[in-house]
Amino acid sequence: MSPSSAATVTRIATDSGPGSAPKNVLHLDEHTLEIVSDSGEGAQKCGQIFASVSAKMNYGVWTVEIIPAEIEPPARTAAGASGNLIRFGRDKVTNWGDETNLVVAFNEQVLLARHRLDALSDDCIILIESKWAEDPDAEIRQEWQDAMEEISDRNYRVIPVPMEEQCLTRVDNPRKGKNMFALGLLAQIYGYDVEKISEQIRAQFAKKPPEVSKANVDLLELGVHWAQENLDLRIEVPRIETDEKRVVMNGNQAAALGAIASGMEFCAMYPITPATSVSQYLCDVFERYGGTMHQAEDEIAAAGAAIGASYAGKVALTVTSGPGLALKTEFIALAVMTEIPLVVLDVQRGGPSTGLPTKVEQSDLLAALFSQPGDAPRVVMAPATIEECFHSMVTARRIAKSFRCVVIVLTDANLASGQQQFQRPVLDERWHAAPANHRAVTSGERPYDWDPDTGLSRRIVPGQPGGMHTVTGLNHDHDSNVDYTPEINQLGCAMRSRKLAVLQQTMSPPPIHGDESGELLVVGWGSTKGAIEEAVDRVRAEGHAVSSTHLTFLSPMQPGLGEIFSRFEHVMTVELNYSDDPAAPYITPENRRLGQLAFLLRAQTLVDVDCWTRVPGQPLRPGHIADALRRKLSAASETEVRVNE
Amino acid sequence: MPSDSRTPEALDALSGPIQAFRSTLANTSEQIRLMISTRIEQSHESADFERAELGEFAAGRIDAKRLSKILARDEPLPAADTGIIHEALVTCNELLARNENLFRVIVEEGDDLRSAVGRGLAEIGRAYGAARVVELVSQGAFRAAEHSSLLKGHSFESWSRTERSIEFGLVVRVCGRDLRAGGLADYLDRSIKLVLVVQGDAPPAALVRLITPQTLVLQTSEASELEWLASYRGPGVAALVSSAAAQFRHDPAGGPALADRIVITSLPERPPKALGAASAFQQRQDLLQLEALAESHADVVPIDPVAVGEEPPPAAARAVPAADSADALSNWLLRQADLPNSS
Amino acid sequence: MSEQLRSFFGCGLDDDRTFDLNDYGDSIPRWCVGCGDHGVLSAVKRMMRDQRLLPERTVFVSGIGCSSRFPHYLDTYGFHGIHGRALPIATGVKLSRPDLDVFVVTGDGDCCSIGAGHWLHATRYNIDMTVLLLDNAIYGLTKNQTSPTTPEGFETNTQPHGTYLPALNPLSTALGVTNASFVAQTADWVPAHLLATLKAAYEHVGFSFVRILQRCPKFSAPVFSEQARTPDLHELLFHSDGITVPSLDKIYKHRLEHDPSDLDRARSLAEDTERTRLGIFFKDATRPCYNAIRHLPTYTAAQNIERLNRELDRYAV
Repeated sequence: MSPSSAATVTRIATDSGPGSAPKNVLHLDEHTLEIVSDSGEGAQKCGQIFASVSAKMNYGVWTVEIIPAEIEPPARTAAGASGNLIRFGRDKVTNWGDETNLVVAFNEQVLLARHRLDALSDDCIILIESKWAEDPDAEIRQEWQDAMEEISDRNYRVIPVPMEEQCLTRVDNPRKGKNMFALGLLAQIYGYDVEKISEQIRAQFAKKPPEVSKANVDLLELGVHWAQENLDLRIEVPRIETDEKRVVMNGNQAAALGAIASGMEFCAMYPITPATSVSQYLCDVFERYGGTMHQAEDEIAAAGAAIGASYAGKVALTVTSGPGLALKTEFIALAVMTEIPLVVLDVQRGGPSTGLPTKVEQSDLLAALFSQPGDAPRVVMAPATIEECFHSMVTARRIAKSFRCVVIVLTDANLASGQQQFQRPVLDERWHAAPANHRAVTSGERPYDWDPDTGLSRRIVPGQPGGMHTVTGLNHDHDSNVDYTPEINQLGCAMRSRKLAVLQQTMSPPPIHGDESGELLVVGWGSTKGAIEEAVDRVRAEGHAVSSTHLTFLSPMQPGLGEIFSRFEHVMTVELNYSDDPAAPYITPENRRLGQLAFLLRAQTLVDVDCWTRVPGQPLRPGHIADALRRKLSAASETEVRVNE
Repeated sequence: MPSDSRTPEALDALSGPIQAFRSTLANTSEQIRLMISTRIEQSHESADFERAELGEFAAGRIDAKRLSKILARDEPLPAADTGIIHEALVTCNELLARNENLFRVIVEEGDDLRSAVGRGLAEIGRAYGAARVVELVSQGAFRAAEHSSLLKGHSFESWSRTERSIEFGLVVRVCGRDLRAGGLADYLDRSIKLVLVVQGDAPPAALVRLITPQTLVLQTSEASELEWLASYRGPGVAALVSSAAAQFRHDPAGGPALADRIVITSLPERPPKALGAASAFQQRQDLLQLEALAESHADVVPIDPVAVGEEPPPAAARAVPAADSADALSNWLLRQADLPNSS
Repeated sequence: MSEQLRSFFGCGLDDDRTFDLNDYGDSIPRWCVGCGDHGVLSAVKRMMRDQRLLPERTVFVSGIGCSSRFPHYLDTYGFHGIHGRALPIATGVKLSRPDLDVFVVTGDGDCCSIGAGHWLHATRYNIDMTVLLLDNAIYGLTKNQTSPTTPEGFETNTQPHGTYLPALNPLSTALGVTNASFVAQTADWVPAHLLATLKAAYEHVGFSFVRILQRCPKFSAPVFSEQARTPDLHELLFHSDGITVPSLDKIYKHRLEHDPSDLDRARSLAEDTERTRLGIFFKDATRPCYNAIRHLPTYTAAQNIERLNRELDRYAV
């Protein structure tokens, strides 16, 4: 190895022979690592296996996928960085944390991508493929030099590893095997049981010929062996044993399984990132449960087919992301008007328009509530964890059916691709949808027999003798006859709206994280829960009276918010969507556009709710949130001082 | 000696209609289960039921007790009848658990083919019986003395027209000497498909007596030929026989003339000898009848269902041709074959 | 069709009902006097009576437009949806409930303009349903705008100096779509032919597309008025596997034998000519039907839970 790399490069001496205890053992409660490569080099698979094994070892785990926007971005470019971030620790991990402590990088360009995003801790350990430093191509050697130069302002500990050279001793195409070699390095560093990882590899490649598993396990062992020989580095994270039965999966898998568990039998979709993996998973398994997956010709038709299936007696699902939700608008209004149950799963991504297709944002909230012309009340709920992605589908189906309404479930790209373990769901027959009832309709029953107090009515579906009627998107009376009279239009609107009030009346106020009263209340929704609560805990530890609450239902909104807000001096939302920076030019308190939840809460509670929101296309970091809370607290106290003066 | 693999092969060939039947049965079972949970169980502990239905996401967020009071519920069923509903569910699930075996009948040697098939059908009929019982209960019309036997057995004779229209297949293993096919004519109504897996020597053309304008009749030694039966939308019967027996097919889709509909691929080389109850004379008559029919170029008189007093089936069974009973057609058969009524 | 039943409920009662026309609806439609939709409605009712359709097992889905009011005038189940989108709704209905007879009633604006994308794909899915395109060559409900089938030069409110482009030919379009399985044309002013076509369309298992030329006395009267009076401007396609209406032979002199299995000829016959061809252009019952391909068995909740638990095992830690 030539000493051409930057000065920070260390070569770990191999003075400790094989089997001897490494001198350098770090004991930590948690660690965050990531594996990054060019797209197609398998860093994601390596990360997934590491995360699964971590979960099986009872570590708390949270993973985030690092996804390039293109399918095959050019090799060795920052834009092409692809991989997986895994934060794991002794306790439950609820978010991706602040920074990465260890990186395995397959080239210096993908490392630079992470460096430039400020994703790495100052003392980050970097295991990097060393071959680029001596590449025959002078340009590449120069790029390596430049990269090392660029990162030299940090105290990174860079450890070059001859990954490809090592892999070539076992396989012909190292591009296909480096990831398993890297997994071996990690296994040795973190002291993981190699046999457990091998098991996981065999499970991953179960559908392929056994040689594939074997080749991968060989490379894993090669990585372990190389690390034993060459790395004087061990990191030990303690774990707590538990008997609780748990599963580990990502949010899209959880939502798909939840849909099956809820007994939904029909799902129509059109491919869209990042919702597609829900659909692909359902396409693979749904039929085993008698469920139909229909890939429609477009987003509109997907909503239409789902409504048709629901009309015929099921509660159907359609899965989409922001631009798809926009296209489904007209059909969602039809479902509202005809009171046909429908569950819409919107896996949010960055917007507007095509926006950030693979990246996370919480920008569809207002669209989910208000995107229709005319008054079209519907239920909107937002799971905050991967576990809730599963269970929310059961509740969504049930509410859609009982209230004859549209339920929009908002998850996001962070939940969609992140993996976390949670308590294994205990499946219940009672979650299952009722098959279409074909009982004869008795005289006097009407298709919209609204209870005048609640707006609720019972559905009549095709096949029921004596119940024939035509549902229509036009305004209609109790018998579904078209009716344009003022009284009936007023009544229809009131009945559809009343159902939300009824649902709201059965709800409980959201719980408070922290004290029940204090100086600042942070309000959040969706996938930011873990990061917000971690930030709140940190700021509370500094002695500040900060609490948080997290909204699960956005429409109707959970009760008691006004009363809760009144117990805090200040209320602010933390959201992953856009709001104007109050310090920006031209921005005044009057014209400032707020985060979407802040906007809603002000309308709902008449409280002067502030917000701190960002649109980085990646999850919020607890550290950044904590900084925002500190700024809010100090600004508030300054204002008070001014007022007192 | 034909091997026993023919029974699974026959079940395989009919797996389409059999699976469809089982699927409908599963759905029926689901509806009964749901009725139990919404109209029996929940009426005791409705909040608990509501809580369970809402799932864990609603726990601590939605007050199930309050919601259950608001949501309209079906009237609870009379307590006296809840037992029979449970029994109906048990019946459905028991039939489901039998898998394909429900559609399989073994005729013990010397036993009567017609009554053995009748027993098989009565078992299948229990599925219809379960649905009937539940309907009767919900209409308040259930009388235990009169109706509870529906769950024990529901014989073909008392099946409704719609019940007879439901397609499924029944595979019957029978000894050749017991192959008195004529008795099966009563069961060949609308959509039912019978496959006889014939063991040992058999009358060479026993099935010829079952030919009617709308019935597909097939005698073959090849299980793959059963595709004819499986794809036919209407009543049909097939016998898997040894290659010594006549091999023929009457396919109503073949054309208007009998000669177009009947295809004989092989006739026995040796003259038949007495077998069981079938005398050599009777067996010869069957063969003659077959040959005569196969040569008839007269068009089959289209049977206008209305003209013979038979309504077409309701639209749920649109493409199923209306079958007529064998009795009404014996004259037609004889006329087509141009044989004197020799009996 | 003998579609699979959802459950055995209701099977125990013999359904000996017969229906007269009023059983399929006796309300008075609010179409204009002289509108061709009236004739289509009565032909549809006659077809249903003749075929003994069960009103509770029959669903009419429509979009928006004059013709899409159709379901409101029938005593079957109906779904009056949104503009151009009847076909996706009908797709969902039939996929989830194969036991229902599904009809779609659509217009030239609804089907050929705003819903054209769905039309193309629904044709290709070849789901078993009957689709009636009531083509009056104009937007009627919104009062006299050019539609895709308005003849070139015809003056409308949106193209007052004459419609700019040649009209779209719905038959050629339908016949051009891969997996089309039934394409026919008939006219509201030839009731016997209309009825025979509806019957053939209903009996065909697959996506039966019937373009019904339909007079609008209010806005596009000149388009069809002469034709409706002049049998010689028609040519009837007949075939033993198509439609034969002997009672029409005396009046409609121009007849052409056409085997509906011949797609190439169907395509050339569908091209515009001086005479309007009525009959079945193409029919192929062997084309794959999406609803049959996708048909799935039903399982009990207990079976599904057992399977889902096995699936969860894959994620167990």
